[in-house]
Amino acid sequence: MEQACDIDEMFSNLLGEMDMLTQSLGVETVPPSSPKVSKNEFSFTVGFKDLNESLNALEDKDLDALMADLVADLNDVEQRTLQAQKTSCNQQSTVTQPSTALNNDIYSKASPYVTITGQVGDDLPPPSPDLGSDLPPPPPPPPSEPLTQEELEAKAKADKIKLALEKLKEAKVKKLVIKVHMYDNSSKSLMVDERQVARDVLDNLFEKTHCDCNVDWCLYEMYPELQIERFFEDHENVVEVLSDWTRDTENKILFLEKSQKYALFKNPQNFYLASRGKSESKEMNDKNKEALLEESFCGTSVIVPELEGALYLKEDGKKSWKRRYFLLRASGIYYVPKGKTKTSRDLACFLQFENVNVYYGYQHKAKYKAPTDHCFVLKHPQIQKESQYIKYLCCDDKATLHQWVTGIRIAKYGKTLYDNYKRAVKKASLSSRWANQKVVEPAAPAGSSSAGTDPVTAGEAIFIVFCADSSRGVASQGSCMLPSILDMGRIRAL
Amino acid sequence: MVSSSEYGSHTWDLILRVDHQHENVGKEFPLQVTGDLHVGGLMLKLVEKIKIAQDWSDYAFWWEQKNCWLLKTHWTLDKCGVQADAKLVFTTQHKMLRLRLPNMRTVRLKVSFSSMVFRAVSDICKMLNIRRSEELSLLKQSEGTLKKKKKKDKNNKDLVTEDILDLCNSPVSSGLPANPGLYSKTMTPVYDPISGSPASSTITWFSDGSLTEQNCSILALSHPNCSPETLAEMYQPRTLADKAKLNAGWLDSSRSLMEQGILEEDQLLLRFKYYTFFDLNPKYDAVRINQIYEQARWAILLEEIDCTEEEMLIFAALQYHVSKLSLSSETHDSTCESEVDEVEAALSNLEVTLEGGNKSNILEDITDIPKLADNLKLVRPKKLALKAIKTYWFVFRDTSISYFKSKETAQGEPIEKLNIKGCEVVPDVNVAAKKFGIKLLIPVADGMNEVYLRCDNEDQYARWMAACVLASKGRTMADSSYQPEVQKILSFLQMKNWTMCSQAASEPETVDMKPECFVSPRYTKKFKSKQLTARILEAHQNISQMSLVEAKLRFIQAWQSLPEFGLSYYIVRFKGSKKDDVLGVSYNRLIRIDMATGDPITTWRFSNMKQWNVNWEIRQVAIEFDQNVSIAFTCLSADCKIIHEYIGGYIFLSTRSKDHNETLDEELFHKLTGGQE
Repeated sequence: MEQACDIDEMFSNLLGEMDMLTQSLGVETVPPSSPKVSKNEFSFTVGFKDLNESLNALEDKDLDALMADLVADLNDVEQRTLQAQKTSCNQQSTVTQPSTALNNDIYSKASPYVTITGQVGDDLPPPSPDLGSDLPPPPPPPPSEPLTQEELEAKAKADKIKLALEKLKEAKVKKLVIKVHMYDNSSKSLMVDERQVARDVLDNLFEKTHCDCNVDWCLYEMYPELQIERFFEDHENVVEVLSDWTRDTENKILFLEKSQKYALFKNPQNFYLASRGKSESKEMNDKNKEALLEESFCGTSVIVPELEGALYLKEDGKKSWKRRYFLLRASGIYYVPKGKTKTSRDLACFLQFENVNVYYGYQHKAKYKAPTDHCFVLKHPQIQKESQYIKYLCCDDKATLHQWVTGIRIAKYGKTLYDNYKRAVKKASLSSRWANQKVVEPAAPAGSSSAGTDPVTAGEAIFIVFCADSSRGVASQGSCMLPSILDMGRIRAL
Repeated sequence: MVSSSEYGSHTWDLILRVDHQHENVGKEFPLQVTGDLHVGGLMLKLVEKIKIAQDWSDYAFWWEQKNCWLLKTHWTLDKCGVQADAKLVFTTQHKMLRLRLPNMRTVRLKVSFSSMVFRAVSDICKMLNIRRSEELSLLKQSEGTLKKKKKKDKNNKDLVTEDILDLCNSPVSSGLPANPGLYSKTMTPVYDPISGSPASSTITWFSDGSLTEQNCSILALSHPNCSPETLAEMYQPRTLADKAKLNAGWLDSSRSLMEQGILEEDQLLLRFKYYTFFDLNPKYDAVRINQIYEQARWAILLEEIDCTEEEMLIFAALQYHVSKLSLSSETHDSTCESEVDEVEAALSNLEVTLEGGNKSNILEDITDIPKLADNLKLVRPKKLALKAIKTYWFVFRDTSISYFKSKETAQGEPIEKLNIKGCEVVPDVNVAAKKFGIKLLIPVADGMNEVYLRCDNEDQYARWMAACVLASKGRTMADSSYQPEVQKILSFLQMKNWTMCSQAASEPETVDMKPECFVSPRYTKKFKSKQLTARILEAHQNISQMSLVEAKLRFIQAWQSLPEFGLSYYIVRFKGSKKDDVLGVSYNRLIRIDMATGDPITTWRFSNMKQWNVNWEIRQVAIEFDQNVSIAFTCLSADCKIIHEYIGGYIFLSTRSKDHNETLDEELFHKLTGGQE
């Protein structure tokens, strides 16, 4: 027992030191910033309005849930901090005091009825210099009595270390509140943390909306400016995608059903066995479908459907479209240069998939004078505005468009797509079983139909609520709430 | 004449030839036999007559005229049909055979000439430690290629330096079915799954332990063993018809080697015949993976399969990476450290410091992300061709680069901060001109930001380049892969140097590492050496973090992703057609291809196949598919048995499943592939 206490004490010392570290880090990174202040304040108002608006737009229930989430987080942090400090040296109490005070403060402030004050901006808000200078001296080095830890079980130690690292990691977790547009023109806000993939967010939305949870539901990203859109793949990290959006973006996230998302797995023959030139869909029995999928996705390497044909390519910077013969291969999209044949070695590489995502273009006939409205777009996810680095392609018909987009997805994501699908099917069957068991739930989606939110207004109110900037290295968990509170105010519209 | 009434009492003379090594003993032995003597009795009589004490157990009778073995020892001579004019040779069933492996190495080993090729291959694979022998078979080189080779041999005798690996001391396998325990899932891994080297040096490779450790490394490691010149000599442009010739030489799996005219000391190719590689597992399959990799590598280098330029460069980069790692794994460099991730590194740091009790270090260890700071030149492309080159003070920290007017102003606001995460990093290097540039394509909201950094020397370049490469993938210099990355870049630059002074190069390894070794001769002609190196270097960025086995597997996957992968071509004449076509046989389909243009005409999938049969009289293969589609063809470039066996073999392989116990259903194989001749 005694030894266990020893290690506990050491552990809390360690945590204490981490606190100290992060505090001093915070002080270190104070930016000079005087010229920036005005800018910060400017953007602050933007973000501020949006925040208020969207928080007000939240249904009471949702808001409560959101706040519960937040409070849970804060409580969690606080509790851990307290615990750590209780067992550590008493000198730290000076820090504990203000932190809890501030903490309470934020609870009241974070309600929708109270104005939240704080700065908005990309830069870290400077912690107040007073606080910095008020910091207590670092705790004395731990007692140097002979250590008894050799006798401790290695496992216990490893657990502790893991816990410590877990905490450090958690402190870095970025969280976003996102506004998701629902199928019925309402919207919902929910919190997404940076570890969540699209699947997690969908599951979350399923719970909130009582929809039928079928596999076609997806998170859909829309760029009104470029008139492009695409669904998130279930394994994609949502926060990562969203952090590519600019601060003044009009981009939106939607929650809707798209049959194209998993059409591949429902009717693989339309993609793998489609005869050239013909685009009618074929029938196939389930057993053969399964065999085809098994063959295409479960071998040593994934088979990319053979796809080739003439497409229109938009010429850089112009509104003219040129017809070229394109081929899809696992390594990228190729075209046949003038006067050459389609043998492999003559092909010219048009694009490889590593750094691009594929999007559907909508109404490009009007916007770019495309020959048809069946367009797809390839671009680096970070590019948000018109640029020569965005490639626009146009197909003759809808079926060809889906074949190309799906083919590119297979080449880019491989077996992950199939895994995603299987998980989605599992989820869907699970929830349908639940639905059958209790018919009490109203079938109609209970999305909030709150007024006042025009979905197309600027600034879709995505704001970071609680994050630690990665530029600071290890951020604050035990650092007595200072950074987190400041972060709480550091709400920014992306 | 022997009349039937005297059956059983009449004896006749039979002359038997004995194939033995004793010089003073004659080779021919006449024996008085009767028709009801069984083969075993004949052997006994003969051995008594020879009067040489030696182990005759591997000997059996080979009937020359009938081209068959008399292996059923309880059959009487009458039942076998042996009469006085029969020339029987008493010879060993196991003989030496030279086998060219997929990696172009030749091994010499003792193989059964009397059991069916299917069984013989299974024994060979057991000796070589290759699982899943059903995917391999033996190929006789077609005469065309042999002739061509002989011509060359006259000009240049040691074209391919044939150092033959002799495995003849391995115990004779008795032809028992492969020990299922060898394939057991529960057995301990024998290979390091990362480097592919033996997990333990004291490992016994097989139940009979016939491979020494050194031999095993020859089989399991990739050795770049060809110079660009050899490659150019081996290379020949191939039409579809030429490719069809390559596939004509597959031996019949249901007959023995001897029956197919193979003689002792002949050379055959051991190749993966069926392109469905089942359950590749780095833990057990080091040899198998390496040999598949080698077969793929040669297929690409010799353009037996076509690929695009971009794909060729990826293949080249992977080959470079594999040969580099193979060299270092031979000298027992550990390459697996790079896999340890940041958290684990931090964990072990913590642990160390906890144990040591030295508290002051902890904080540094976790938080001190290393940074780079140097004066570098910044080049920004300007609209009107004028490039502005200016020196700034650059600081690389975390995953971003900031630059300042000078070192002194580095405390203040940087002129610009470039976030490298997710950006494209392209080397812009010319060693001869002492130019060490890094091109960064940084995606921003309205397009790509092109930035060129210029370093002063190789060292500086390697450090910054490595940092950029890691940062583009979201990793910092604290990552344990940083130092290896720096080393890799430096060694790559050295390869570049070799090519600069290739005339002076004398060391064998340096020759092997020429960029020309990694691409097909077509590209050696197309590009200058300098360009080639630069482009391989570029493709290498994305794979430089891979382990040896990973790189080989990636190579195999990229090969499998080629549209023409797994197609074996035959020239056929379809029933009712007036011209020859090419038939491509793949693991899942048959394709009819226009011989002149190479365009596919029709595809039939095995999954739709109802039945197929062969009319051995007119040597025609007829296949029936769903929806009343049926086709029939004769094969012009090979025996129709070969196509028949190919189709049956693929159907057989598709019946394998991981749930089944792993013994092979040999009977089913022969049922599906054997002919009813």
